[in-house]
This record gives sequence, C-alpha cells and structure tokens, in this order.
Amino acid sequence: MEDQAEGLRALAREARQGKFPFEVAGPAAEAKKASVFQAPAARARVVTVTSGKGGVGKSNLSINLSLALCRLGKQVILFDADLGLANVDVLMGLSPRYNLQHVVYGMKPIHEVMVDGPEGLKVIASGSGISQLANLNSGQRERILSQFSLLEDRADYIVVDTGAGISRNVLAFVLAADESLVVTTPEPTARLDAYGMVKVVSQEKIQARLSLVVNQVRDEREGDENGELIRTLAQRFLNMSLDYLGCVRRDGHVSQAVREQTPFLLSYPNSPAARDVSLLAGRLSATQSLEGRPGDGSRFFSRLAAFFSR
Amino acid sequence: MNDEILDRGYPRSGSMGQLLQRSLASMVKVSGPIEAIPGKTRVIALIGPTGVGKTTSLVKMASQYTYDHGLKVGLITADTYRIGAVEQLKIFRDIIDLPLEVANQPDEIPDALAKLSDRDLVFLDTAGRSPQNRRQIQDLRAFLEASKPAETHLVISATTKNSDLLPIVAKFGLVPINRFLFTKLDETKSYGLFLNLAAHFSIPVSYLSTGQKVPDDLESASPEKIAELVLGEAHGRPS
Repeated sequence: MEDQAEGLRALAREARQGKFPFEVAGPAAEAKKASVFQAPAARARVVTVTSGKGGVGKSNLSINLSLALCRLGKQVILFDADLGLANVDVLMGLSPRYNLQHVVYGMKPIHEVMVDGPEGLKVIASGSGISQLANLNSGQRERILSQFSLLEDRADYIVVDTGAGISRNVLAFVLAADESLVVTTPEPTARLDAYGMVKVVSQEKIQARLSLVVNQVRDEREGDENGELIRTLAQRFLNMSLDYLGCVRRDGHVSQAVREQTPFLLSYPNSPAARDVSLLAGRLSATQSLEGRPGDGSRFFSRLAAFFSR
Repeated sequence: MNDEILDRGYPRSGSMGQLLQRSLASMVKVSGPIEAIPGKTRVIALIGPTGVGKTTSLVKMASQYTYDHGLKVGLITADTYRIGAVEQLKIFRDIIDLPLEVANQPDEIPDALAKLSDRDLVFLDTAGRSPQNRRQIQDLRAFLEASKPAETHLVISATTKNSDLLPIVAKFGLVPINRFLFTKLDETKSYGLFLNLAAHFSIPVSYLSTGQKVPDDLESASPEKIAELVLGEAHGRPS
C-alpha cells in the first residue's frame, strides 16, 4: 500500500543512514546520473559571454558558440545566468522546468536541473538561484558548491550567458570566470558600452582575461577594424590587454533561425554566421587552456559565491 | 528595420505569447523560499480556511528544510479542534523525527516555543477557520499574537471559487498575512485567481503545491511559473 508519505519515508530512511538528499535515489537516478555525461574530463574551462550593451546578439552567440564547441567534441554546459529574460530557452525552444534556485534551496540535485539540448549540449537555467549563494550559511554553501563542482569536474566548457549591462552580478561572473568574451557590434553605442565593460573590469584588483567578439559585421575587415580599435583603446587608456577573438558576419539566416526558434548553427550550418561562429569555437579551444587561473586553484562557483557575498 | 529588431534577439514567432508571459510575470510578486537563519528560531505560521491543505503543506516544508537544508525544524500545532488533526501530524512527526508541541490555548504557546528554542524553524499549524466566523478568526489572532510568526502564509486552494476568493483574504486579513501559499494546483486547470489576487493585494506568493506527495509536491513560486500556468490555461495546453 502506497500513501502520500512514501517519498518522505524513503528520504527519512536515507537520512538515518547518513546519506545526503543529493545522493538519494534508486537505480533509475543512478542511471540518470551516469548518463549526464559520457566521459569525465579535466576541470571545465569557464567562459562567460557578456556585453556592455543589450541587443548585440549575446545570447544567440552563447548558444551557437556552445553548440560549435560541442561539434568539436567538447562536453559543454550552457549556463543561462541572464536573470531577467530567459533568452536561452526561447532561442533554443527549450523550457527547463527547474532552475538553479531549486539546487540552492536543496530541492533538486543538480543533474535534474540540467536539460538536454541538441548536440549533447546541457543547459542550466539560473533563475535567481546564484545570487542567493551569498545568503546561505557556510554549511549549506559548502554542500551546494560541492554540487556545482560536479559540473566543473565533468564538463570541458561551461559557457555562461550573463545579463546585458554592467551590474554587480555580471561583474561577479566576469571576475570569477577563466575568461570572458565581450560581445559588441560595429555600432558606436555598442562599442562604447563594450569599452565601458572593459573599463569596469580593469578597475578591479582581480585580473580577468577578456576577449572581444564583434558581431553583425559587414565583412571581416569591418570586424578587424573594430576589434583593433577597442583593443588599442583598452591598451592605451586602461592598460588592459585584450584579445580580439574574431567576428561574426551579419547574416539573414540568423534572424530566420531566431524566428524558427532553432540555433542557426544547426539549421543553417553553411551560412556565413555559422561558419564564423565555428571559427571562433576553434580559436577558443586552440588558445592555451588555462589551468584554473594563474596561481589560483580555486573553483569557479566558489569564486562566484565569494564575489556575491562581498 | 525588421532585420535590426530580429538581429537584436527578439524572436518574432511567439513574440506575443512571450510578451504576454513577461508582462504577466511582472504583475506577480513572489517571496522566494522561507528564510531561515540558523541559530535563530523563526516561526512560520500557516493559516487558512478548512481543507485547503495547511497541514500537508507544512509537513512538506518541514521535511524539505530538515533534509535538504539540514536545519533544525520543530512543529507546533494549535489545531486541537479537528478530530485526528494532532494524530495526523504525529504520524509525520514520527517519520521525520521532529519535536512536536501541542498548544490547546494561546497561552500555551510560550511554553511550546521555549521547548523548541534550539530549533532554526518552527512551523505553526492552525485550525482551519471559516472566514465567515468572526470569533474563530479572533481565536486565530490570539494564537498568532502569542507566537509572533516571522512569516504568516495564508493557504489558498487553487480550486477556490472566484467569488469566495477576495472575502477569504479580506477576513483572514484581520491577522497580518505576509505570504500566499497556493495548494491543489493539480486539481484545477484555471489559475486566474493568481492574477486576481495580484491585482488586489501586494502580498507575495511563497509556494505552489502541486500534489499530495510529501515532500516532493511543493515548489517555491516563481513569476514565470505562475505566468506559464495562467497562459497554459489560455492556450489550452496542459502545463
């Protein structure tokens, strides 16, 4: 005879045996956990994608770049940290039922919050969970961070789509990440905001690694000019060295794919934008992978938690 | 111009739905999960009409905070009116292994609280009250005044008739309410009451109870989830 407290009794049993709820579960959950990732990898490289200005195609780039990395055989987790608009869901036609908040409050284990995207991509919606890290006691925090560490241990890349603008949250992500892509377009307003982003980061004591991506360019030359311009300005006035990672050409297929709620890399793999993004992914994975950060063996999510609570 | 808008990442297909969902979501306020400050006893009271699922919701929260958060949780029941109410709670208490105190009168509350002073969270269960019965509401008020809850959640069934909804909140509003907790979301497909309440009261929604299973069927409310429920109803798709 089953009653409404069946799950509760199971939980109580396991708690008495000293198990944590995250490890709760029978064979089904074991299988699920095992299938979350095919192959274990070294510590994930955390790449945040950010922009000073909204509407430069940041979320779209995050998704397609993640997929391009998947196609290179990488295990990638896309982390939608855009607290305002759940763009990643919309652009990919996914709707995660749970978000990070459920993990932070211990209601779901991390693997249940992750949804499967195309090409083996895993997607996690952040909800407002991440910023709650600051409000937990050290015991709770430890337990949750160990959940997050699972992600870092098993993926090659964690791509974080941050909100637009330069809020405290966005800054925390940028400072905690191994590196950040600052997305801009050739429009002067977008360039100015990208520079602003670099400037804010340059004023922090923590050294962050920033790379520029110029989106929606007419041709490669326009991309190079804009990338070079911001790079030079940052070097001269902020004493900040940026990499120019590359550009993505303006391409009607992009808007077509957005209308169809599919990533353009999948629906128009031979379009100019898809080729450009694949190139970016190739360059990203070719640049020397950082072993965490220089002289710092700490983990992304612990650093993040520290930034949120400062 | 269109191209520009599209390139900025606003999807055209389903954009009305998106817009609607966002604007609905912006109407609804949520509180997030119960705040617990380890080492400091916070009392969480659940009040509401009869049969809405106060005790079940309370047990769900108590077990989530015990097992998932590793907090010290205690229970007080002031429901000595309904036959079997205390026994029901005792069964759950035995499963989770929590201290449970019974308060027959408001003046027994301080003693009960003293016994639970090592707890991080104390959940206070109250007797289901008819909003039409003024005396009952006065009794409830006395219990709350004695226990000084940090949060008082008014538990409302999603199956409540719209015409009864506002009177319920108005009558229970004689005691200070600071959260709405919705239950029985799985027993209806119309969720307009969320918006009706949001339009009338600035009280945030705390949790949504979506079934009878303890402790699984209780989730912290989010504006997106609520907007999705309301829209799911309009689109006629199951949510």
